[in-house]
Amino acid sequence: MTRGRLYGLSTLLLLATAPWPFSAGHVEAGSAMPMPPWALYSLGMTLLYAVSMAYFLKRYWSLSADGETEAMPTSDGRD
Amino acid sequence: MEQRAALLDSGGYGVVALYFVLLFGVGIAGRLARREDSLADFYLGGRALGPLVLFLTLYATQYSGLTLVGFAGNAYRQGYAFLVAVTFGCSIMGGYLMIAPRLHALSKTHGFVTPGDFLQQRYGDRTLTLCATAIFVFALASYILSNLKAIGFVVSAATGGRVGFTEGIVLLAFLMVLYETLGGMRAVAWTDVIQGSILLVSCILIFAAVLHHHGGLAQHAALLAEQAPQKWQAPDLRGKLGWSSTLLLVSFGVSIYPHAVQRIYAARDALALRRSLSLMLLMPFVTTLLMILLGILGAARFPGLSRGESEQIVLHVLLDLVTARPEFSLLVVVLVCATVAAIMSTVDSALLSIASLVTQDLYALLRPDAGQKQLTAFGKRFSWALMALLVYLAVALPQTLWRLTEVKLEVLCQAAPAVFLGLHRPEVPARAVLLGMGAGLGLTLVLLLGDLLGLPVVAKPLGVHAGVWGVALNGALTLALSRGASRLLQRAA
Repeated sequence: MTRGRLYGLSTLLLLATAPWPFSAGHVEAGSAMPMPPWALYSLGMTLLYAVSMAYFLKRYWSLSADGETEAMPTSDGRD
Repeated sequence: MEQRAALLDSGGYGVVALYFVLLFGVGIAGRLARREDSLADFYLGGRALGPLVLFLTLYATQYSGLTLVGFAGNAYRQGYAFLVAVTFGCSIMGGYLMIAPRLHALSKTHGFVTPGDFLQQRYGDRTLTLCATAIFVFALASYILSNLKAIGFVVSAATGGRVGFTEGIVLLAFLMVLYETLGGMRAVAWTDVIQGSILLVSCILIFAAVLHHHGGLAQHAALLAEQAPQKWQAPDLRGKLGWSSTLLLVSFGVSIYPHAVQRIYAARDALALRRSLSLMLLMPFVTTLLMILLGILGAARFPGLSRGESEQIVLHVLLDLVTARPEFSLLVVVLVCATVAAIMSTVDSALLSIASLVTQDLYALLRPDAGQKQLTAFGKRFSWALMALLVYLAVALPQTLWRLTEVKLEVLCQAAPAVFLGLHRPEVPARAVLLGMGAGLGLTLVLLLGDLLGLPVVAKPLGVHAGVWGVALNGALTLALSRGASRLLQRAA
């Protein structure tokens, strides 16, 4: 895993929480449904995103922390 | 002064007074716990915040009074489409994943106090640092202003007008700046432990009580689908683009709020920071989601409320419960305390952060020989002066200018490429970032405010926020200029 792939994957997972598979238009409410199906999808994907992010934070913290090189040697602290 | 029925009885006033005394006591404790008179000790708690305090201060700072009031009101008006707020609560951690690990490590090495310290160390360009600082100060000041206004309304409503809008703002602003200047980040973080706990427990208690009384969500969901089918339907393409745009705006913008960045700096170690960020991922489900569901239940139960009335939907639902079940009347006190706590925890953090930015990134330039003790003292005096100004503006700002406070997140986002690219793309030079920031900011402001100048623009082209368009232009231009500069250097070599 590289940082680029990690950040790309997390962004894709985030964007996938929008209810893309569901078209706009009237949806019948089921008698036992606490919310429409697309809302359940979005919440479920958000939960997946949250779990994924928790995993990424644990597994890839060092990857995100390590720079390829030290930042441009410009000034150390304040002028 | 117009007097209405107060939400608080004498017992409620007693609880609130006790809460205020507790906050003052924490301010004193924060002052006594200081190890030295330095900016790092005052503004970052000596860089020693452990996971529990760090988590609760992040939580209390991120979730303002908007959570308890605004989110439910939005859900009332928009229906299930406002579930996007649950996701954007999590999306902020996506932004932190990209910046927190490296920023924390660098802050330990270089002793950063403000986001400007990182930018100055990374780019070495004073103009860039000052421009970014100006963006940060604008965003924080706007944030404080809108929250001060909210607290005035809450206090007035809670006391039935006995304590007016202006008096409420003045009283609570005084208390906040008092404990903040006494104890700095320690006082703010420790009061956040209290305030965050109140907020979290309140959300769960209120939701559980209302849900128990109404027998679940399904019947109200079905009622809403019948009464207001537009609130049940999936968003159209424009709505989905707007949904995604909101997530990107929040992920990039909220993660670089200076008071959030300073909590990254203030973490005792990387493990404490990682654990607290992981816990934060759960919070939208036990805070935001619960308030949204209350708003939706309220939409089914109390249809036809005006916009202003819908902003108080949680109170409507709660008073409805208390009318039927008086034994739950304590929950009204809980709601008032939680709302006040949520607002105060956000304002005190933002105020502390602005004072640090002005002290470290501006005043210290003018007084390079000033020692840490002198700088810290200036920061405290500045906090008092700034709060006085913001209180005045919260009361007296013309309505037309309030619109400026609504653009804060979209403006703040324009500093995001400087931070994100600065951390991960060492080849990006300062001038490219500065030009990108200028272009992004220009585009954002034209889209957001162009109609005031008579320009034929819309604030959300294709449903995408102006700030996101701005960041896209900002980032693309920055990277393009970086590549161009790289090629020129290669040719020259």
